Amino acid sequence: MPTLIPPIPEPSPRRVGVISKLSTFLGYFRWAFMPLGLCALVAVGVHAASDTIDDHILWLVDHADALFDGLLASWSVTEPLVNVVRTEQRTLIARAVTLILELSCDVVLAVPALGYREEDAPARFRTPSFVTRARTWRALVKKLLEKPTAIRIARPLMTAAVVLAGTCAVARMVQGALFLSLRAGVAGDEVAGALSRLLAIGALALLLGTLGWRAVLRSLQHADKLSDQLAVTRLRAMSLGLLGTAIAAPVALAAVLEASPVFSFFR
Amino acid sequence: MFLRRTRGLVDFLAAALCLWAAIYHTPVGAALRSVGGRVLGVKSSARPLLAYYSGGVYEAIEVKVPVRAPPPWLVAAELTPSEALGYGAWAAYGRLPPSRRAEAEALARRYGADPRAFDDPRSGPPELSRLLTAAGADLGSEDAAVLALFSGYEMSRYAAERARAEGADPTLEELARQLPPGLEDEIGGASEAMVLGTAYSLSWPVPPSTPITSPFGMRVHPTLGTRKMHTGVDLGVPVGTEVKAVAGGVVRRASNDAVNGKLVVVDHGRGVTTAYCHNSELMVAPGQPVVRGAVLAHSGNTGRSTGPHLHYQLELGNEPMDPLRLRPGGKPSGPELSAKLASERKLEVRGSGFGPRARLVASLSHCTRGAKEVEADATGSFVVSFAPSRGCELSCGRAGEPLVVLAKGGSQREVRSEPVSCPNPRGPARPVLDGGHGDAPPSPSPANATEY
Repeated sequence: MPTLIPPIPEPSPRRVGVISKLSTFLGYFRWAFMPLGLCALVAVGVHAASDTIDDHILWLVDHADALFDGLLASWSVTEPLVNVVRTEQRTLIARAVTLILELSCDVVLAVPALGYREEDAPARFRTPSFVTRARTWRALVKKLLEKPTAIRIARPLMTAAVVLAGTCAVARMVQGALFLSLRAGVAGDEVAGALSRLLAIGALALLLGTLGWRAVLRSLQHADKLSDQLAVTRLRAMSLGLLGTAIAAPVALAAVLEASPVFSFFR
Repeated sequence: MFLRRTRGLVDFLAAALCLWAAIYHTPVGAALRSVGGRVLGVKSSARPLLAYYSGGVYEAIEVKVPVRAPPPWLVAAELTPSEALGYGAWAAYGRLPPSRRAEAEALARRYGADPRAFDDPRSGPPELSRLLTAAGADLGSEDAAVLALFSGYEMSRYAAERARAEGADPTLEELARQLPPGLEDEIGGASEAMVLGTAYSLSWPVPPSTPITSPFGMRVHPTLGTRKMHTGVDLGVPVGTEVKAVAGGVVRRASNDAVNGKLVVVDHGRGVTTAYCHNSELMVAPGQPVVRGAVLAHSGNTGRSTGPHLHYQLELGNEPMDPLRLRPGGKPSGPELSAKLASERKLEVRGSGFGPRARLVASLSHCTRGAKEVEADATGSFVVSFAPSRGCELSCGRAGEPLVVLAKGGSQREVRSEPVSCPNPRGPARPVLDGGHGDAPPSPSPANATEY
């Protein structure tokens, strides 16, 4: 396991201003808001990606229904079941499948983020396995290369994809909300547009710089812990977490291909 | 050093942003808001969970279609997509409370339109149509123009620019994705206008004079013998009739089963889909784009069917809807008139709105005996004598032009009663659809402006 590093020293009392005081005060609650923030970021990314694949799922449901109707129509006993699922129900089913897929992805990718802890957290929340420093990255990547398992490879990559999508979704919301607020008597449309875009880019950088990398690291830590505990054979190493990976893979792919318009904030 | 000193604050801000987004941007957040709203006894703006996907922009709304049939003198009139959108916007705008009309009035002023006309059933739709055309040219899409009517020009422009920056078409779904929380009502109004605008522009899958052999609504199923909802209209066409797409779209389904027979479902976008059942031959494949008027299939008698016909079904926001309610042609048959046909042996039919010297024709099909075709006298009236039977149908219209089916009959009793009006399908006035407000002009044949 990675070694703990010393906690960050508190700033000198002589230079403490209001912001520093507020920051220090909020720091006492990092154990609560950081895991929640990470979980929320991943969940937003999962939803942004799911939102882009609902049409594909509808297409699949339509084809499956046509196939079943064709089969059921072959026998007189099952014939009354043909057309049991109407068009509006097919759409409902497709949306419900998307919702279930999203919630499953949340379980696979977002919920583990709630286990995030930091080495400078109060002692009662501190666990030896959760550190967030460069040394941890190096140690975990080294282990990944030495003892690769499916879960060690897939989960951080999928988390990174949805984090990117989530960051873009949050930045988009920030931009829209600011534009709406600023133009309501505070600034002209041009100024509101420029400011909101600037702040959206700021939000993008803020989230990637504070929560984004932590979410990926936490995912790697979670996968590492599971691998250490359960991947005792080579077969197990390759099959561990495959179900979760299979569920989350389409969403992660959609997150990269369709839900991460990073460059749109600069156009 | 500054970053280190403010780390707690910066991380807190980042986490708070993510939590805010999750609460307003995910179904789980919506569920939490709903629960929170109930616990605190306040109204939550959270939509149903399944509406939190982009297609849900058309599902989250309750499409309120006109409750009365359009006047019969609109029979066979067809609206252009732009005119139809004007009607859709007019219908949706009419339901806005005065407090939420400021954005539409500002948009009207921007393009020199008269917002006072928006409520008028005669001048409102064309005025809105012109306004939306001008705004659409400016904003880059019809969807953005409709959104601007409900959310304001700047919000719509912002959303359209964001959508384009992401490389997406500025459709209402994409525009809605770009907007922050709190604009659900505006998006709902826009989606209602879009759905209705698309629905009003639909043409008819078979020739307009085709009789309707079974209307939309509850009925005793002809083969099952139980009362069931008939979610479309049955159009009596012979086997092999070309079934045409009522608007452009993408074929969502082309399949064959023992109930629907050979079936085609077309997605026209904007929450509008149509289905065509019991065909003899399908001419399209799933995923294929089709244009308005493209031949989708040849009609037939496949599946659970008692005779050659086309089952035509319209769905708005995934809810089946009577296509005749949205068709400018109105309802060619109805229970009152059908009852009259069922009980009478001699019917007087009077032309309405044709002019004094028009040559009118009444046609009876599937009747056991009686005149097949009768010509009107100089006053535009004619008397039809026939022996009603099950499936007997009465059509009328100008000689040499497609006829309008008035009704179908059934029993053998002989009763004489009031004359039946034969409406002019090419009435001079523009369509007026009752959106629940304003005064519609009087119908030339109020007795036969049939309603289900």
